[in-house]
Amino acid sequence: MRCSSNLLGRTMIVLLLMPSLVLASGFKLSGVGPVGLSIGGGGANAFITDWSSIYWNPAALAYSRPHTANIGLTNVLPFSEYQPQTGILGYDGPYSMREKVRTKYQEFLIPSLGFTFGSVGPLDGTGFALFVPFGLGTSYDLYDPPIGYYLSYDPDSFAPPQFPKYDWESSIQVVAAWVGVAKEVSNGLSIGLAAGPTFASMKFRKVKFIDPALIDTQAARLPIQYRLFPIDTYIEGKSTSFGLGFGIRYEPVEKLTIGFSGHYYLPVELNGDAAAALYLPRNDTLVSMAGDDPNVALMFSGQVMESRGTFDATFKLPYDISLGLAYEVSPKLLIGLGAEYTFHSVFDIVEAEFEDLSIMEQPIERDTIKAYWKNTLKLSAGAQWKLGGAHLRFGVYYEGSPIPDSTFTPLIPDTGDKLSFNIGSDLQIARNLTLFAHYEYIYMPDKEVARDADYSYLSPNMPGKYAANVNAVTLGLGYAF
Amino acid sequence: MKTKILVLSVLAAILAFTACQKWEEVEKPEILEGTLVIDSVVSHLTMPGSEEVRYMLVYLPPNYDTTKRYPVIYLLHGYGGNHMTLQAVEDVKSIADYLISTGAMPEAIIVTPDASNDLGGSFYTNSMYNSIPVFGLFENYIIYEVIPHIDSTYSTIASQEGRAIVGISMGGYGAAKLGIKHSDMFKAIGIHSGPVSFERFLDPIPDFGGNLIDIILAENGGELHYPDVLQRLGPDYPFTTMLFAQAAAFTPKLDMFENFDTLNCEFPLASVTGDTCGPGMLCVGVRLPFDYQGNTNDLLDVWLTEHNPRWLLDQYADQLSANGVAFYVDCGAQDELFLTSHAQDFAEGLEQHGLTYESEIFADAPGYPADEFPPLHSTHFQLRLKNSLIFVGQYLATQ
Repeated sequence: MRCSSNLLGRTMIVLLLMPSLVLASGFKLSGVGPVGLSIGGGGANAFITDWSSIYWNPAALAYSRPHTANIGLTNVLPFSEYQPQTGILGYDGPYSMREKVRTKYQEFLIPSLGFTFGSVGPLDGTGFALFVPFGLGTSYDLYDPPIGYYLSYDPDSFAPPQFPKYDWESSIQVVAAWVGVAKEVSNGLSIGLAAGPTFASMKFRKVKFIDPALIDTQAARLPIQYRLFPIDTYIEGKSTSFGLGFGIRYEPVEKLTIGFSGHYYLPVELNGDAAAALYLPRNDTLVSMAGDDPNVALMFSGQVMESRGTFDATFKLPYDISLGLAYEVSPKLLIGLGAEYTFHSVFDIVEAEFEDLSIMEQPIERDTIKAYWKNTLKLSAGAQWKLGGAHLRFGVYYEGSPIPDSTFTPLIPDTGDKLSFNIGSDLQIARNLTLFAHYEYIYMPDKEVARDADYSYLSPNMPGKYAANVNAVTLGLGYAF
Repeated sequence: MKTKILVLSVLAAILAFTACQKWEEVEKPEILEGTLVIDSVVSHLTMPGSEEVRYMLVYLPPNYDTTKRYPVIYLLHGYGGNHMTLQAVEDVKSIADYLISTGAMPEAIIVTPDASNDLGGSFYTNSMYNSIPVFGLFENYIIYEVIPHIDSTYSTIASQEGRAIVGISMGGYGAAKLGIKHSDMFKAIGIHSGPVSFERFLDPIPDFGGNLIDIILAENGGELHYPDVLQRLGPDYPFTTMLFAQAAAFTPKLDMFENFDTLNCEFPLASVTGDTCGPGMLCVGVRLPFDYQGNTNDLLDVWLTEHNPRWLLDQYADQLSANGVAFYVDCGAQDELFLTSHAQDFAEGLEQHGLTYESEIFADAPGYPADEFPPLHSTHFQLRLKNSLIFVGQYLATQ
């Protein structure tokens, strides 16, 4: 028992410290556990009866093999590429300093853990799982101060400050530690519930701009490199919340199973650190031409004006419902079909409130993240072929992107319609010990976000060409006591 | 056994996919850095009767190698500036570094000579009165002192195929004038926001109800009177100040104080010794092409001919064509010095003469809509300079 607690604790730490990943829709992941992932989630809520049914459909715990312990590790290799077409100097602008920028190379290792305990009291199935329903992350080096931003008579005595290399970053991690219970209410009909805390950790870094012409209209006549001053902005926060899953599993006729399930998450009340750093340009000539004007001297001093504070924000996680069918075509072949509807539209506007944060002595009290995400429908299909004591699994799913072009940025590189191809297998490698494996490739067509006539540095999106795909491999071990 | 082999094969294939598919982040192109050198030459031409040290900023391309020969682009600064201004405000070095590093233009030396004078700018013109130098022979300074100095000091392609001349505003005027008159010396000419078609100065200015002469009179309360007008020369009276600089270049005067017809806008500025001009003193001054009420006089013909690049274009078209000189011309669509029509007129002349050219009336830049960032005299100069450097670079010989 003590060993289990230590393992649990260490796994929790690993999960909480986990870097982020890119998978599935928005920041929602493809699923949980190598079996459900291998069939692309196709009918998983009617199909799965192992520990991962805590996620897919807790009602299936009523039919799960009792007393199992499972551990898994997913290696995710997301790839995303962005060709900015913002017209903003520093990203691309007239100089096209970069053509394509790829995310920082990152491999993500995501452990998972699950137990089934069998019937307990009036319950026909119980279990516990630690899993990651949401995760996302990118890290881009997108912005550099433009040509001529720092100009000094004496370059030897003035070293331009180093703008952060990775200036567009995101990391959203939500870890769920849920207990699941199930009850077979009649022959072939079970209901289930899973619930527990969710631990959220989020980080965003992006470049914002200030237009000096808003302070002094004469600034509009400055050389183009001084039209916008960059601000490196950063927030990082954590929170604990609560989530639950529910499900119904029904076998109306022999060989056919229907599953209906869903997830709901209480809003995450994030709080944490916020920082902003305004990188002022340097131009000794303009300072000299302005005589002793202290405002000009400050404006072109090359200073970095940093401010640190705190923030609070409410972050809503999307909830979903899904319907699945599983049909046993033959003793060796099982097929599944699924449809999942995710209410991404809860992620519309995020209001962040700041304390002790300011730019040029002007307090920053709030900021609004405009998302306006759309709900999505995910369609999936999978099959399992029994080979002696082993299984081969295949699955595909299709899902659109919840993110409209009007708010699309590199921070969440869900470029559009996704087609996920999955293959997996299991093999009993020792008495009561089974090895699971899964490979997933998510194909996303290239996406172009157009810069419309109204586009400006204040727009919530980033025009340009986007490309992305994901490779992921999961290995798992299951032990039956 | 077959089952195990099959399943193990799938497992092996899956593991094979875990083999790192590492990629490189695409960084900005590697930018090679050139070198800036402040060079100088002792000029016998810019200060009549004397000599002075004149500076120039020389950009040497990345990995400058004296065993190679480089083309030279003469980049002329504008009114009120000097050899450092374009670098100090627009960072010409970084633009050249970027263009050369990305192969958009050939490796080239870029030279910005100092053409400033006490009136704010020489207009790269030989200031002569009855064949006597008055405010300096700046055209000759560029042609006979700067260029030979550069060719003798640096590893240049010392021929027309290896030279281009580019400038903005007064520098655009200088590039046009020198490039046209010395078409055997420059293969390509870049003119940004240049006053290059002087007839257009007489055109009515929209929403004003007069022409540029009327604007100058308005700056001075309706009439130009000596000596009041001299007190106004400075940044608060930009059109008057630039007019005096142009008059000093195009129609100067060297004479006794008493011989200046101040009612007809002949203004003594200083004695030849540099003191305040007064009775009995030999003075340098300017003659305006109109009188104190704005009525034009015979001097206007001098402005409209030998100092007018559009007129010079007609006169030298055959030589330009024979020498294969190419032109780049641009101007902001809302140039506050009313030079947009100059660029249009000049481009029409290039078209008429069948010369090679590229022209643009600059309206906006991507991401910078014209209503927020009006295309004025020097708006987007970095981008425009990039365009002209790429353009002239196409015509320069390399070794």
